[in-house]
Amino acid sequence: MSVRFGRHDLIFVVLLAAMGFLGVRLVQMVQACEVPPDPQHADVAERIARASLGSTIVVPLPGRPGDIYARGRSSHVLMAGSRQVPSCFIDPSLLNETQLAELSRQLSGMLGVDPGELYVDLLARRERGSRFAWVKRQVTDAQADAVRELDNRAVGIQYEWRRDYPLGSLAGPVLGFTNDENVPGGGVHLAVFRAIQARQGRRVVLGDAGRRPIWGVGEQSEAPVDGCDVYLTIDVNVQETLQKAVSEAVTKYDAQWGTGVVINPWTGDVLAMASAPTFDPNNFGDTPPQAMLNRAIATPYEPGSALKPIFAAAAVERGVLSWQSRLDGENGVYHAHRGGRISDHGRRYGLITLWKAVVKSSNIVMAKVGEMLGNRQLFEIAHAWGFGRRTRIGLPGESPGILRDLDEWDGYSLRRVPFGQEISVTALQMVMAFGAIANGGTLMQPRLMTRITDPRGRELWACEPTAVRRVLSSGVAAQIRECLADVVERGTGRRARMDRWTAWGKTGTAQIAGRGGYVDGAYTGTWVGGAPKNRPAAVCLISIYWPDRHKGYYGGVVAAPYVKRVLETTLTYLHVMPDRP
Amino acid sequence: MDAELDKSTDRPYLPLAANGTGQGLLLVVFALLALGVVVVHSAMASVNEPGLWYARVDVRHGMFAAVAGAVLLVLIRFFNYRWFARGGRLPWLAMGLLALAATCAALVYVPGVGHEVGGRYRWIRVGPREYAIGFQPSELLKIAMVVFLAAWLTRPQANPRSIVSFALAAVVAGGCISLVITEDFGMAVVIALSAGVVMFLAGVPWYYLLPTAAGGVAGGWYMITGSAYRMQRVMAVVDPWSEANPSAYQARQSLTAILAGGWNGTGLGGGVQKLGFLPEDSTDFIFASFCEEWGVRGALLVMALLLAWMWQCRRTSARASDPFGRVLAGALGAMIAVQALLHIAVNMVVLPPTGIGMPFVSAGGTSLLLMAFAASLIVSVSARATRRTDAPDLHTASASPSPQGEPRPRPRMKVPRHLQAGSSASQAPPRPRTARPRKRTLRPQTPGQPAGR
Repeated sequence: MSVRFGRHDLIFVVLLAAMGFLGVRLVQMVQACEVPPDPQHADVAERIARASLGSTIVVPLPGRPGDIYARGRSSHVLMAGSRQVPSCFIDPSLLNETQLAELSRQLSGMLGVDPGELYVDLLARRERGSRFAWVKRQVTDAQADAVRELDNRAVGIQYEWRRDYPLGSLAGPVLGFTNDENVPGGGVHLAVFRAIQARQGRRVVLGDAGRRPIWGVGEQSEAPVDGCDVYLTIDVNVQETLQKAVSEAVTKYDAQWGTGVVINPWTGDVLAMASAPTFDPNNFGDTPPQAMLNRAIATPYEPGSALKPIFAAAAVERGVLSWQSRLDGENGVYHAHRGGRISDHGRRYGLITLWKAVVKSSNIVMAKVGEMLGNRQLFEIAHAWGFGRRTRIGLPGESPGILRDLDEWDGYSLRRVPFGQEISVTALQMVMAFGAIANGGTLMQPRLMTRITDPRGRELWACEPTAVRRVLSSGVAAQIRECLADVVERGTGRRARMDRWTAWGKTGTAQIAGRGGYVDGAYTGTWVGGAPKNRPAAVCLISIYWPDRHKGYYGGVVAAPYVKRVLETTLTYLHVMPDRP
Repeated sequence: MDAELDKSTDRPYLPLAANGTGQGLLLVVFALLALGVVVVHSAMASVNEPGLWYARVDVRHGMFAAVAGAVLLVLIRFFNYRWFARGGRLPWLAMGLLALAATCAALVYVPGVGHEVGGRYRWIRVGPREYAIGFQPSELLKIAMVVFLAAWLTRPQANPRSIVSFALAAVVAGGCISLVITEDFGMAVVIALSAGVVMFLAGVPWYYLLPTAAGGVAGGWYMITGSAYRMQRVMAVVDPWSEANPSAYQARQSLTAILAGGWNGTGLGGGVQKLGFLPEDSTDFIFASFCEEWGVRGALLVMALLLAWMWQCRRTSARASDPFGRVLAGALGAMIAVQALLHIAVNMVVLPPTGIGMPFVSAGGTSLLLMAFAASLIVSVSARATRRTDAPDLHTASASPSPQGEPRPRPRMKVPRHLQAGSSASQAPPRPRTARPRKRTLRPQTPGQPAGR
């Protein structure tokens, strides 16, 4: 075989050399961009690393926020739930100006948005390189179908969880709300935000250059985790009654606001908590902020005479006085040494017993009780009964009330605090104190949320009834209840008298403190009481703030009839045996 | 007995089973075809392509690859490359093929027939709108020119050293180049290089070719510097990462795909750049797409296949029984290899981006079928080689040893002196029409049966 080097061999060698060059070059190229890359190839390597991810599309998977349930007759009642609503969005950078204008025109016809505004907005977003813009959130199903019919790749429908409150304004200020971005706005929503909040999942999809989805990337995707459910002690039926009553009272007496609380004194459960004016969390956007206030915990006010039984009972409990101790009524006007003038508003009492002073609501006698107790004891009593500190009900925005420091107390305080001036309390503090009277002397911690369960129903947190401290012996508590029942029978609270149950309670008509003194003609009318007398099943408070004085302002007038109505309904509803023949 | 007589010429004919070189060529072709089906499917299947199933590029590519394989197998059985040398002074079949190809290539410029893809008129489409049959005439032109030049320059009367003969060949090549150069620069380069290889193999002196090549390079330089668009493409090779150069986009994406693949690749189907980032990922940049998924290892595998191809073509050319076969096999093999190397070089941004598909791999029915045709011509040459190939003898390899236990004597293939390569008398002797057997099948021969000749 001859070893002649022919022309075909030359061609072969040239091609071989070319291929060898390409092969070596390929190896060199890849070597240069290996990890860690050379400094001069770092930017290229980084670009390669970015490019090798392709275009990943992250689709958020919204989780379902937890529900809030209240109690019903025999089951739980949904107060705040969530449902999925379609929202229309657009990717402006997929379209040019003409397409954008055309699409804006089409969408405006379907969704009822202004085409010009939409076009300008989308154009601006497109200039910024934005790839997402809401066209309209929370559209109807028909509108969503119409958008789908467009079959335009730039427009899409995304489902969001929207908060829904089936019972409307019932207990609105207690619940609070969650806005469209899942930011809580007060109430239970804010209190247990972390529990209710769902963890958003995401679906990571590998897309092609036109951002069309190709396949899902399972390792990077995450399933959403739904929020936890919260169970309240609120009973919708009691709440409904109370809310109606408070609203009616506020409307009838043309008051600034009113509030009411119903509790179970034995457990501290808040059966109802109402404010008027109230608001519907479904339309939180149209509500003035004042209407969202939960007045029962957020706004302290001077309770007035409603505080008298507490100091009277405390005085008896401490052995300073007995119910039959006689005190001088000073014939209606009392000029105390360094204590200002105290009157009994036209009524004149001579020597009367403490019992009768409470029943008749004598300011002068209570001032004398204060003198006998002294500032320190008064302060201790108020503090022990839960005034001046938060009740730890667990709602945001709770006020501790106003109980001044002991060293700021003077001769005025000594004589004013026992009948409810110079001290501000919240309705909840007041009703909890009366709950202690009702249950035999134990101050309970108010309970609003009983438990929190995860989406599968397993209990994550539970709250048992909690006693704060003992403030009265049961004997004194029974006595003060007798005394307060007398208030209903022949005192200032006759309008709270019920036919089937023995009601007890105390009025409070407090002047409203303004700048530099009490405002003329401005009162808070309060009735706080429970029924039946021997084993109270419910304690109710209603306060009407600043009613029109010409229509009525006494607690016995503006609040007591409504408390009576609420208690009657509640006791009937709770199957409490009547104790009146 | 491994040498049969050619049906048409009564010349020695190696059946495929005994034709090691032909087997090697076929294996390379089928390997590349199979690879192409897989890679094109990988590049196209994941793209949301609405429409009819037969409009899908990967499906059509698979069908074309199957047809190309079948055509190849049929052609090597029933086709003889020497048909193109018929006619002696005027190889009319080759001329007719070239005339047909040139006509088709010119039809591209006829409005209504020529079809535009990506701003380039490279296609002829015939038929109603949805069912039109597309055809890329430049592919045919390329092969027809090589066949014609090989036949023309090796005809018995030809004197390859004659400047007239060279000039005529150069005019033909120039005409072919000018037909495609405006629409398909890459194809023009392939045609020019192939024409040069044909002439070189046919014995045209280097001192004719070199000035022509220099002139071609000068012309190319003039074309490049004369147009900002082409200049940008050249600059894309210098700095493919420059964002300021819009023509560097393809180069950048191609490099990105290759480098993202790295040594081992992302795995079959795992490539990302094919998802609309790498343009022309199933045709002009299929090597980059392939590299991303198969890595450098896969690229070296393809290069090894190409090396095998080049080696088998060289051997076929070296052992061809006549000058036409020698030139034809060498030139066609080199043409395919050159095209593949250009494709790889463009993908690796060693050369400026021009649309050159990878032979046997890139999607494109015309290219596949005509490349299969070219391969069949080369195999046909190898089947009429003068010397034995290295393939083991069919009968000794497959049959059991003879009862005596000694190996069967190797049959020798006799080649008439006038048929040997390089012989001046390469014309066929008159065909004995009467003596031709109807059918000739290859079967193991028993000692009692006479040889089938």
